[in-house]
Amino acid sequence: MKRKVYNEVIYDEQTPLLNVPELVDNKTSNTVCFKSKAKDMEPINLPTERVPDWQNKAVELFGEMLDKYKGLRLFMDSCVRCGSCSDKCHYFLGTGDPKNMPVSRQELMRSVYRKYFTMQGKIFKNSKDCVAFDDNILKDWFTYFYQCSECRRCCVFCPQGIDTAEVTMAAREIMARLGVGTKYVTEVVHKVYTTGNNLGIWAPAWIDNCKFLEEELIEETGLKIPLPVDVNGAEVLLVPPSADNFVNTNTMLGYAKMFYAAGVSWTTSTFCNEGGNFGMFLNYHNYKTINNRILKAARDLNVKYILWGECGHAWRAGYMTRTLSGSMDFLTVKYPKHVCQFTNEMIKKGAFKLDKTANDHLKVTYHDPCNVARATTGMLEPPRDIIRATCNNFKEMHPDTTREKTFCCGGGGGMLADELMSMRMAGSKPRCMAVKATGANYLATPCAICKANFGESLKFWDTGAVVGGVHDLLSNALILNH
Amino acid sequence: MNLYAIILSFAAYIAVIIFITGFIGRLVTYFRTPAPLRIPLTPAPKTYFGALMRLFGNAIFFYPLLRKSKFLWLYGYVFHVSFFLVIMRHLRYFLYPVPEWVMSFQSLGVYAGYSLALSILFLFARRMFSDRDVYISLTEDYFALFLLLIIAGTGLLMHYYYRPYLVDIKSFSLGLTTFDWSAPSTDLLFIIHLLSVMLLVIYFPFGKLLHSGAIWFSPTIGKPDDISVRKYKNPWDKV
Ligand code: SF4
Ligand code: SF4
Ligand code: SF4
Repeated sequence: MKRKVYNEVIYDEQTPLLNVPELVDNKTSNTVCFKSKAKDMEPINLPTERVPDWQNKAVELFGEMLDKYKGLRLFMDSCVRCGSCSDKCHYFLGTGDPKNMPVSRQELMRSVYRKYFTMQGKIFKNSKDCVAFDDNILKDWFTYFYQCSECRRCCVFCPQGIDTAEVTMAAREIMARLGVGTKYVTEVVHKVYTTGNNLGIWAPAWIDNCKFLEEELIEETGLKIPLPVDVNGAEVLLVPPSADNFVNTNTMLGYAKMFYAAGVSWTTSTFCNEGGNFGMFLNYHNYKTINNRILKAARDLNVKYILWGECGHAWRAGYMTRTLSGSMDFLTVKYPKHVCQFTNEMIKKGAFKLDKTANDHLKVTYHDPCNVARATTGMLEPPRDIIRATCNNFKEMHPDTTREKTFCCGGGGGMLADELMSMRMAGSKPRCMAVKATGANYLATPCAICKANFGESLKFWDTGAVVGGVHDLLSNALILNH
Repeated sequence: MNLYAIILSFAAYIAVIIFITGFIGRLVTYFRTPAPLRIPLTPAPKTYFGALMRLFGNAIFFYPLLRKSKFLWLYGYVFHVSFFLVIMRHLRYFLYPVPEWVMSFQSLGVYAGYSLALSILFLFARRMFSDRDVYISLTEDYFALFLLLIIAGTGLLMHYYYRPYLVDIKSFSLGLTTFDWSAPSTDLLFIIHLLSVMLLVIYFPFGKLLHSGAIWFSPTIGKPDDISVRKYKNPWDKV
């Protein structure tokens, strides 16, 4: 059997779809994120170093989380170790490390819970199921709660409805407030506060790049199709992932052409040109503060409504906007709306002339980003409808790996860091095997992080497919009037 | 009335009090803990009624378990149904005169006793077969199964081989409900049966058996997704 080696972690290359690996203890216990730096922690309102008396502080914070989150409170009590979730996590399927089974991931937290918050912990002080919060367990938390992409796949299969993502989020919040974060996530959050986006693109560069894309469109179509920036009074504020403007530019061109053809005025904002919310991977405070920026940008630019771009984590956070950031009643669309929903409505209305044969060179399959498909509702069909309207060759992947059962790309949840590359490739394996099985050469997906991780992993697993957006396909098929 | 009667009766009362206060206290905590951000499970129903239906479907038919293994679903299911039937059968010890509907559970209850014991054995065994199940099983899981096995085993033995004197047992259990305490049979099997039941009842609100109550509050299965229609406030962070 051919084997692949990545950062000295060895994975079997050809295992059938959804094959469950042998358990290998501590297989990924050394795949750890770099620690956060004080220069990033301070501006995002977190302790720059481990807080004094951190063990007791951790227990106190744990108690606070239990009182604040019904989910956590229930999930700590209700697991019956039925094992239904144990082979559902892509990181487990990719690595075989037993601590990547969702139930054992929860157990890292539950064992501490038992120690301090249950009768069992008080009576059986030395039981191995009740663990004191110390350096060892903190190390495990830091490792394995940053090996969870908060994708919620395990939850779909749990008879108790236990959502490991909630557990992971709580553990990360506790760690963050103890002063323990990862370099990648805190750096990104810091960048959002200084530049408005995750990539750290300053306003002039953003404007420049929009001009550059406009020129590209003139070359391609002969039309002056605008990519407006900071236009006061535009109809739509588009909150794309910033990567669409620099890396996945075809998606950005797709938005521009779509708005042009639909005759809708739009704009991006240099104050908030990013939807992807990395605060979600850290703590509630930053989650909320970042999301607030979207409503502020909408107010400042006096737009009629907001559309969220092709970004999974933006949509999951944005979906909570009315709880996190307050009323959207000053807009005409008073609840969060995704650009795919908008485009799909326009297609249904017959607003576009489409030539499906323009995509005939592509064999398309669709990846449901977990945060689009599973963390919110109503986003299973619209992207598929767009693909069906713009492509002739569309093939779904295995039904156990699509829709609510979709596999994560392997890089979500703040795990897109380079030092986690072996984890990202391993976690991507179930998805890539499913892609390979369809024989597709184009993997469409509306999520910037998915695109970034698949950019590497589709090659790594020799799938023969490239990744791209959904609006890229629309962009190819759209016939524009001169 | 003698010391034996008083001690056992008091133990039974204490067990029941711990069970009731512990369990209700837990449910109240679940109920009162806020759920700030909505996390309904996709594909989520759009209405509260739909969510309630899904919750019932989940709690009564365990259908996510079907996705893991039909086998585990089967004996997991048999276990819960048998347990219910056996409890119904035991109602006859606490009611006088025994109502018609309790009588109708009698023979079914005996069969349920068998399937209960059998399913517990299966549940035990499955924790030892696959590597993954061995890895995730905790002492607590074995403890709960062990306790249940003792209860079911002694119950069946008493029914078939060593029948204790039932009149004494019934006057003991009825006495508990009327505060007219009397001594039950001193049969060893019966005492083991009774004490294990008390232990189970006491343990119930402090361990994994809480899943029976927790599922009704589930923010994933039991909530609709109506976020575009309804505004939800975060109770500890009003904006
Ligand atoms: S599926 Fe749910 S109840 Fe079963 S082991 Fe996993 S988390 Fe626990
Ligand atoms: S949320 Fe996703 S990544 Fe995390 S344990 Fe569950 S399946 Fe694995
Ligand atoms: S990057 Fe995409 S697939 Fe991965 S967790 Fe995020 S939304 Fe899911």
